[in-house]
Amino acid sequence: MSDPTLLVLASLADGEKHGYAVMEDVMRFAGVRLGPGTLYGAITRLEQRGWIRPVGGGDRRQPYALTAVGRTYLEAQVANLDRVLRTAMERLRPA
Amino acid sequence: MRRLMRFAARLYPAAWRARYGEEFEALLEDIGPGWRDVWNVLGGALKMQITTWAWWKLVPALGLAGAIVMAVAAFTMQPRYESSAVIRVTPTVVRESPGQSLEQEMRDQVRHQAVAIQVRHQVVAMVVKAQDPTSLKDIIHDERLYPRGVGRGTIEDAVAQLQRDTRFVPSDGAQVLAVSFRYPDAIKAQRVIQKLIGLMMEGNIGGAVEGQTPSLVTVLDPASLPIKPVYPNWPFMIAIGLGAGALIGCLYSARSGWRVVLFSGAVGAPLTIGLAGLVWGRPLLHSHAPPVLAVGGCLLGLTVGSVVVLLRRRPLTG
Repeated sequence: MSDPTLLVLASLADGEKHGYAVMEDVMRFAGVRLGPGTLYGAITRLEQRGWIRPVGGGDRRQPYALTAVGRTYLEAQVANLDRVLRTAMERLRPA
Repeated sequence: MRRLMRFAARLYPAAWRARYGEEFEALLEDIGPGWRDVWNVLGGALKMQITTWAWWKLVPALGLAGAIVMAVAAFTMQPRYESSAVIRVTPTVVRESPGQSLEQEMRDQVRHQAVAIQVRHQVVAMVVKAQDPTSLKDIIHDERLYPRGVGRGTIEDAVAQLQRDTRFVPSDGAQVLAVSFRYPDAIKAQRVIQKLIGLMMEGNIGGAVEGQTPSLVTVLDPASLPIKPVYPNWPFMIAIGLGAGALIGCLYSARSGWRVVLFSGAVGAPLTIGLAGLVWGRPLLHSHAPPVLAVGGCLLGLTVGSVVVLLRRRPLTG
């Protein structure tokens, strides 16, 4: 799983984070290092689609949070992935 | 590195920088960027530019990029020079003076046909000699052609390549024959042509029909020393890059109207062949033109379709 938008959504699922925190978090839970260009490309797309929104302010490090639509999308994606993973695990299990 | 990174960040579109610029710079300060990040930011800026540009900006930009890519490709290609020579093969049959009687005229006609057959026979013998692998091996060896090897690196592969690089174009009822050879070295190309002409002279003598004297071979144009390479063809390659880039830009910008674009492309091929058939008639169908026309018509259709979609979306004026 290396889709940057999904990784960012997954990172924001447990609360708001700014860019650097998302980067560190993704590295920790997925082992994927998102480059700054890739990260902000994903943030731009996600904000345009209304799946995340900027929160707070005042600081240069802008935090983002999931919107309700973004959460629904993430849940649907995770359910899909879960189905795929379970099928793969069952098929890999020795007979 | 930080200065380079700041420069790369400035390549993002102005509207994007106004919205994300400050927080993006804060992120760059936090991560302490390396070379991988510089490339990542450059790639991100390019992607963002392309996705936010209007079609009238994107199409010429991609056209220009395509032209630059093809120019660089042409620059890296090894130039090839073409040396050529032209010879005339004249039959040595002595013509009788124009006969007065019908019988003599008929005899003359038969003689003419025999002469034409003799010339063709001689020319074929000359070309066969000039393509003879044993003789070509000697030329490759003497001139040290294809030093880096061809194909599997065998001498047979080099001979096959030499044969592919040589062209024989007959004209005037096969009495005039143009021979050309392409090679990265102009002087060697000229020397190969000189040797091929020599081989053809031998072929003329060896190929003479028993009991007849060989044809007279005259060198009309001796082996030329090429000054300009014939390959790569810079204007052609740059035009292809420009056209391909512009077409990609059109197709990308008009992707929302993909049905119209695909329909135009599908209609373009048969329409072009049909129109060409009406103009040039039946001979066209028996030539190599239909596949070329189909591809050209399809590309033209795609271009027209995407331009229609784009013009309907945002007129150039007003």
